[in-house]
Parts: sequence; C-alpha cells; structure tokens
Amino acid sequence: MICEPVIETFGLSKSYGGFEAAKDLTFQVLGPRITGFLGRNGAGKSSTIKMLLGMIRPTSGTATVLGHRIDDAKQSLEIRRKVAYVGEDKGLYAYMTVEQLIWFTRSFYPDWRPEIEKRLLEEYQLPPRRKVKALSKGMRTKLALLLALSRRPALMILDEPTEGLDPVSIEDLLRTITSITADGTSVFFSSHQLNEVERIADAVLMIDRGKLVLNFAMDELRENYRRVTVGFDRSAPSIDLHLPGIERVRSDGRQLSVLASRNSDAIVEWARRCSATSIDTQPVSLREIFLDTVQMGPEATSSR
Amino acid sequence: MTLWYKTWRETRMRFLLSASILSWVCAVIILTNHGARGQANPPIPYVEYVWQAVYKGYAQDFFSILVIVLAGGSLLQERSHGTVGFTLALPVSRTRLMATRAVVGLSQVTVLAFLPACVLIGLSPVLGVFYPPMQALQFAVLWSAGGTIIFAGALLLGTVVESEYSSWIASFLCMMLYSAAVNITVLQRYPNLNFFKMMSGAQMPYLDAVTFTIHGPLPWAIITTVLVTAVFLMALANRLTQLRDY
Repeated sequence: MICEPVIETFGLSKSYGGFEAAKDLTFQVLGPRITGFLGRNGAGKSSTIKMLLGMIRPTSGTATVLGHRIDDAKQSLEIRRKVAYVGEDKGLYAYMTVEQLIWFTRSFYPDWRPEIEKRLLEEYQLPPRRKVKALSKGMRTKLALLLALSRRPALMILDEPTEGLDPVSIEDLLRTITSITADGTSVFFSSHQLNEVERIADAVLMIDRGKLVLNFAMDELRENYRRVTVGFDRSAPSIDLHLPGIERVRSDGRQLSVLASRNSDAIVEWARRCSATSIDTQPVSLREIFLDTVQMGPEATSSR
Repeated sequence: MTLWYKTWRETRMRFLLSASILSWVCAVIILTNHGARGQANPPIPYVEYVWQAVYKGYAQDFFSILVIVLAGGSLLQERSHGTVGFTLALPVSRTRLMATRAVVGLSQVTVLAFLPACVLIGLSPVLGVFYPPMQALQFAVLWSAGGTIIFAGALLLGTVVESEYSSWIASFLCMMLYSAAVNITVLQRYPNLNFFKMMSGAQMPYLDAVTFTIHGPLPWAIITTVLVTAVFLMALANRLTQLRDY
C-alpha cells in the first residue's frame, strides 16, 4: 500500500491571548489509514482540527489537507468538499428531521452516494421522520456518520467520536471507522481513550499542552518500543542520553527505567557494561507511553 | 437553495410571531379608533390618529423591537447552540452564509414593514373609515428603509455578542442610546440623522403637518443614504465574521 500525506502541518500554532493551544506543530498524517490524535483534555486536539478545517485561524504556520492550503479561502472550500467532519458535540440542526437533514446535507455534495445513505439508514435504524432533537446522543453520532460516509470522503476527521456514547455504540462506531479505510478513505480521529486508539489506529500522534510529543506507527510501537528496567547494587549510574532510541529515563535510587523507541539491545549492552544486577526488557503499551509522556511534560520529550 | 431553507427554518418562528404581534397591535389601534379619537379634544381625524398611533407611535416602537429580534441568529449564536462546527464544515463560504442570512432577514423586515399597510387597507373599510392606500404604501417603503438599518445594526452586534439574548439586549440598548442621542443632544437640529423621524415623517418636509400625509415624492436621497449605511454595517458584520474564530 502506498501511503501519501493527507495532512501536513508546518509550524502550526494557535494562541488565545496568552494561552498557547497549539505550539509549532509540524507533522504528517499518511493515508489511507487510521491515525489517532491523542492528548489529554485541553491538550490542543480540537484547536488543531478546527485550524485544519478553517474554523479558526492559525496564529502562525500553515498546513495542507489533501494538498490544499488551509489559509487560502478557495482551497479551504475544496478541503471541506473532500473532508467529512464529525465534531465533538455532534451538533446537528435540532429543528430538522433526520430526512430533512440528509436532504439538506446531500445538496452540498454532488458525489453523494444514495445507496450508502439507504444502507446506513437501515443499518443504524435511524427514524427518518424523527426530529434531531429527539435523538439520543448515540443516534446523533450515527446520523453524523451517515452524513459523513454517504459522501465517500477522501478524509474523515472525527473529534472525540466516542465521547458520551454507551459501550455498544462505541463498538459499532469503531467497527465503522475500521471498515471505511477499505474504501480508500483516510481517518484522522482525536481521542483520549487509549484503548480505542490502540485497537484501531495504524499510527498515533500525541500532543500535550499544545506540543507534538510523539508521532509513530502502531507497528513501530509493537516491534520496537521497549521498557528496559535495570537494577544495580549501588546508586544507578547516569545513562548516556545520546544513545539513539532513548525517549525517557527515570531513575529511582538503584533502579533505572528507560523507555526506548528502538535500539533496546544497545541499552541492555550498556547496562551489562555497567555491571547491572538485573535487566528486564518488556514491550510497552500505548497507555504506558501516554502516561509517561504526559506526566513528564512535553519539555522532557523529544518529538520524533 | 438549501441554505435558504436552513435560514428560513431558523427564523420562521420569530418571523411569524413578530408578524402576528405587529398585526395584532395595528388591528387593536384601528379597532379602538372611534373611542380613542373621541376622547381627544377636539376629536382628531382618522388619518391623523393612524399617524399618531401607528406610524409615529406604538406600532413603530413594536416594529423596531421586532426587527431586532429578527436579526438574531448569526454564526456566533450557532456556536452557543453547538451547530457551528457542522455549518462551517459545509463547503460554503462565510460570506455566502452571511448573505443568505441578510437576504432572508431583510425580506422578513420588508414583509413586516408592509403589514400595517395591509391591516389598514383591509380593516378600515370594515369599520367605516378610510385611510388612503397610497399613503399606507409610502409609509411601508419608509419603514422598510428604517427596518433595514435597524436590522443591519443588530446583525453587526450579533457578530460580536455571543449569546442571542445578550445580542438582542445590546441591540435594544444601542437603539435607545441612538434615540436619545438624536432627540436630546445637538443632533436634534438635524432630523435627517434620525431614522425614526425618517420612518414617521415627523419634522420632515415631506410630511404635511396639517393632514399628516406624505406629499410629493418619497425622500429618495435620505432613503438611499440610510440603505448605503445599512450595507456598510452589513459588510462590516461580514468582515468580522471572516476574521472570527468559531
């Protein structure tokens, strides 16, 4: 599969007065695959997404989505023609019925696929004549997904899609997200639910306090990321932080805990040379990386 | 086409309610004309009574307030309803969204401005009184122009004040301040600056102060100035909408 960048940002920043919601974000999102956009609440995920869709203006930097620049009004329209967005609050026009909202949305997209609309309407069991305001949050999410998927978008951006959903709806949603990449649609979704991201994402971007702190493919995580715990019979010596692959080091008296994105063998070799009494190498989960990263703060992390 | 539908759906309740209130106010004024005119000493003619109560009085006050209510519902207010993300993700420019909002709103203002004329023309003969239809239509044109500038001002405030209710209150307060400024200060020497007087014709050369009817052609220069000012205010509202983060 040839992966091409669907989103590219170049020093993208956004400030609200003195508060920096996004700081100098430079990254690539490749398609067609699922990319999870991780971060705590208030980390800057929604601000970044809104900048990509032209809802807020970057303070500095720029970005392209599907090759179109976000800071050009005409190209921004082109982005919105090709990108489907499902917002965090799933805010749809409460006064319209399901069928009215479908009719309304369809009129903006000439490549609307009625057969997908019909299939999803049945699959999601959405009542066409019911007003949006009378739908549950789960149903509203399904309706938002129907509106997004019936256009066969090149890229789908979802902001906290599972927020407020019950477990069954979450399961349905994750299954839908996984299935749409088969049609060539790229998915970029923000979340702070680590297990969801770990389950469906092919790649992960992590931001904390507006800064990009990690950017990796999930295969890379599974194959290369390791936690090396080294024990000594004396105070742990300081490790050479310039060893390639070291992401973070935590020293606790006689024990050193090293998070490595690669090259764990070299760390083990270093530990042996330093006469370590115990060396333990374990694969790491996304949860561990996330907690490690956000607890130590972006300053202690090198974005890769 | 569907954007017009969306805007109509969002404003229709307010519009229908406004139209009902204004029609009811005008109808009550007309239905009570015999008693009200009889209490005046000496009794005043029907045409003067209509001018005092409708075109310069309560009905004009109601009309101004209802126009402010009609101007609510900008993108900023959509943000407080949580739908702005959906709207702005559509492949539509903010200018087109604003233009649709303005055209639908101004059409509703125009209908509202012509309602007193319809009620007068329809109800007066039933009560055995006569109001010249041409006069009613001329006042409707003046009200349309006045309503346009009130709408434009309220639309502008709607792009800077987030909550719909707050924007209505801010618009109402601004209208009161404007009214005080042109009636109390040195500006009262320049009635052309007072669009409430433009709407009623009070102290204006085109209103006959004896018959309380408009004579000669409508004041097109004043109307054009008012409309140009309204266009400027709406362009400013559009510019602010372009610059704003949602």
